[in-house]
Amino acid sequence: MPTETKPYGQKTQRPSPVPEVHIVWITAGLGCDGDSVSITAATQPSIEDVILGAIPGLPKVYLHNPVLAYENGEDFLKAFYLAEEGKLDPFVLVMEGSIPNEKIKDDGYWAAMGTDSHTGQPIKTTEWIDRLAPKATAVVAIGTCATYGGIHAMQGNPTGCMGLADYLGWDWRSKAGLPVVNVPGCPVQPDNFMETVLYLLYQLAGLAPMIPLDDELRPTWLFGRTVHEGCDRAGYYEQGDFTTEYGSPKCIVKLGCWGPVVNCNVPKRGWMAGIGGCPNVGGICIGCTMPGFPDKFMPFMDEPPGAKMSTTAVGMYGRALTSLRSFTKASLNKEPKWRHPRAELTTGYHPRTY
Amino acid sequence: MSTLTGTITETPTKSRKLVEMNWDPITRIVGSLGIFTKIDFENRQVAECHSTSSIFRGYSIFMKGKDPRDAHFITSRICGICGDNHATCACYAQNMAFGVRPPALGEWIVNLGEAAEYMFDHNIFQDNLVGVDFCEQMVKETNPSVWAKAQKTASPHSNLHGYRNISDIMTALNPFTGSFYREALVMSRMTREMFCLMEGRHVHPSTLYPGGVGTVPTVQLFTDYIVRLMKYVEFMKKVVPLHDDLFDFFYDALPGYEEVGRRRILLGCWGSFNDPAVCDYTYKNMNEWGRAMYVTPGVVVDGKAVTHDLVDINLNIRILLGSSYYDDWEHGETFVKQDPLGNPVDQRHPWNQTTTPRPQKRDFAGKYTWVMSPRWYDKRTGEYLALDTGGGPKWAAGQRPVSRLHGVCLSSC
Repeated sequence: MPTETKPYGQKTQRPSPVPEVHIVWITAGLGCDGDSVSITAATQPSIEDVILGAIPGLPKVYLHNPVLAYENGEDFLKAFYLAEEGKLDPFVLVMEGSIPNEKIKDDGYWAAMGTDSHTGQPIKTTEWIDRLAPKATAVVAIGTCATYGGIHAMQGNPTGCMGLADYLGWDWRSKAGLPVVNVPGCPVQPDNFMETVLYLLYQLAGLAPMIPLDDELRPTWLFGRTVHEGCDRAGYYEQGDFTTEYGSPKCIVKLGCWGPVVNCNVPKRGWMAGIGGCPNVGGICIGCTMPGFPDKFMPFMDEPPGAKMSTTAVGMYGRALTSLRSFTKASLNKEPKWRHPRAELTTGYHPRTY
Repeated sequence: MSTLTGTITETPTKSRKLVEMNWDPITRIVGSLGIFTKIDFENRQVAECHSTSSIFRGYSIFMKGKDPRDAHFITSRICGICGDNHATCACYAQNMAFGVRPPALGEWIVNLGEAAEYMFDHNIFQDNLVGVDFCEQMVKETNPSVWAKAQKTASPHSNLHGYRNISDIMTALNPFTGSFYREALVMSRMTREMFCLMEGRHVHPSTLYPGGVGTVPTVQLFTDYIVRLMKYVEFMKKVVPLHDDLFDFFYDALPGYEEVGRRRILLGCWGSFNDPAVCDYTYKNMNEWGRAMYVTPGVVVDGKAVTHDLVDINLNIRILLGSSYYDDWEHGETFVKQDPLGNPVDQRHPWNQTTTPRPQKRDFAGKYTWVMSPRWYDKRTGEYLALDTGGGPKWAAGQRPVSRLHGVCLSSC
């Protein structure tokens, strides 16, 4: 890129000690590619911000993602083979889609990408993970399928699929000592993922400490609070005001919302550009960021068992609170009495000059 | 009934010099596509071609026995581009099954969400998926002479889109560095904001339910939607002449390019955007409310409209096994013998499908894919037709988008 077109950040800041990082992205898990599509909606940062180097201090990033790639077929896979041979260093491996259990059958494959030139058979997705994970500096699982199994790992599924940490082992560490980094969501909230990538790039550049993760390997600053704690309908909950109708702006716990017990920042952050979300815009939280998703939240449209008790308990307190607040509200909705058009000043000021 | 589910093998072509060319994976598509060909370059012909999908998930298996109200939350996850279409269809199906008719405003919000989804689906071709096939980098690499010509060819509509020469359009399509690529990315975000206003989240909506939506219909909601819509309309005024210039140039620069994608004109559509004044979600009145849809249903065979009747379109859908890794269900359980009007339902209709995966080695002379073969049965001729559900062969430049959508819709569920 000629110097004059370089984004501001790249030309003014000190160069990163790691000049280049490759992101090798497998979408060939059992998934829908919805996470790859989702991240193109991100703006904090956007994918082009990261690739074009608009953010200071970052290494130059090369992205190898099948949904966004220029190359096709073997040309596209070249980066994967180089990574396997240790010639693409450092690289971050991103896994999308859940990992099928290929050991439960005698022949064939559940999921694959590319063709083995010796056997003429497809290269299994699990084989790609086995080849690439040991060589990766960091490994990130994107979306609930890759993190914990998700929809395709539902009870009664035929493939025995699972999350990446289930496959590699929860105590697995990359050659740089990082655990698997999980960014769940079905699909992933766009900015949540891009921000995690940004953090890891800073870490690789020596500008950030070890990424803080919780026990489920989620970034703590993104998944430390519940849906409810960030929901703009939580006020209705406090007042014991629950709706049983769709399309109402009130709390939808009784319609099946699991917000009070789900780790997710979507109502606070919105889906994109602060717009959309789930319970904040009338969609019940079905717990799609959680390891127990989907089975522990089904049937989605029934009231969560725990909510029956908690909404009854909060109901009495809430009704009392609401009636007290209605007095205060009525008072606050009236202007102070000194604002009037009469020919006298009643504000408390005593003029001496007029 | 009898159905051809056996494999059609190619006649051996000893006399021809065939060059094997494979692309696996095909990128910029959803659905794990691989294309394996043998090409007769002397006679400028593709002698053999196999397309495969290399992933199995098992929706029709793991959805069995689950609460039917969960259906749309689950089916949305079939596709990461158009999850909403699957969710909407599942809600329509639930409305019919439960006998509920959503309030009119709910139906309009679903329609507005769908409309935003279609704009997103259209726009994604320009950035992530298809535009790249026509970008400077690609044309230079694959057709240097076409690039040379593009540099000397003025864009007929440069006054409308601002790109002086055809080569400027191609440069603007370069992934990430191209200005039009980036503009399309920004616009695609705006279509998704419109979608999120109506349905909460993209790609898997949060506010859709059987019987309506959870969206709160305020004045602000519709204001926020229409200001974005008008920006998109303005953008399209630039995009349409830009496409015209680019593709007209290709027809001119590459004689024969208009033949790309030419085949029998077979189209299928089950309609879109219900009219809440007419649609009561009863099977009995399905043809009536189908005709009242803002995009009407229909099947076109060899360029002629054969039917607009939703009952007819539905009942003649067949799921054939083709070259896929599944056991036949011809002698399996019949779940539905008759539709509610008393019409017989075929054993190969999706209502009677039993999915039994049988993983095995890939064999291009036998079974080689996880994708089944959905067809439409033309009772006049007894043919099983592969209907195009995303466009048409006449629009050759649209061939790539159409085939890419197929990857989406036929991906192994």
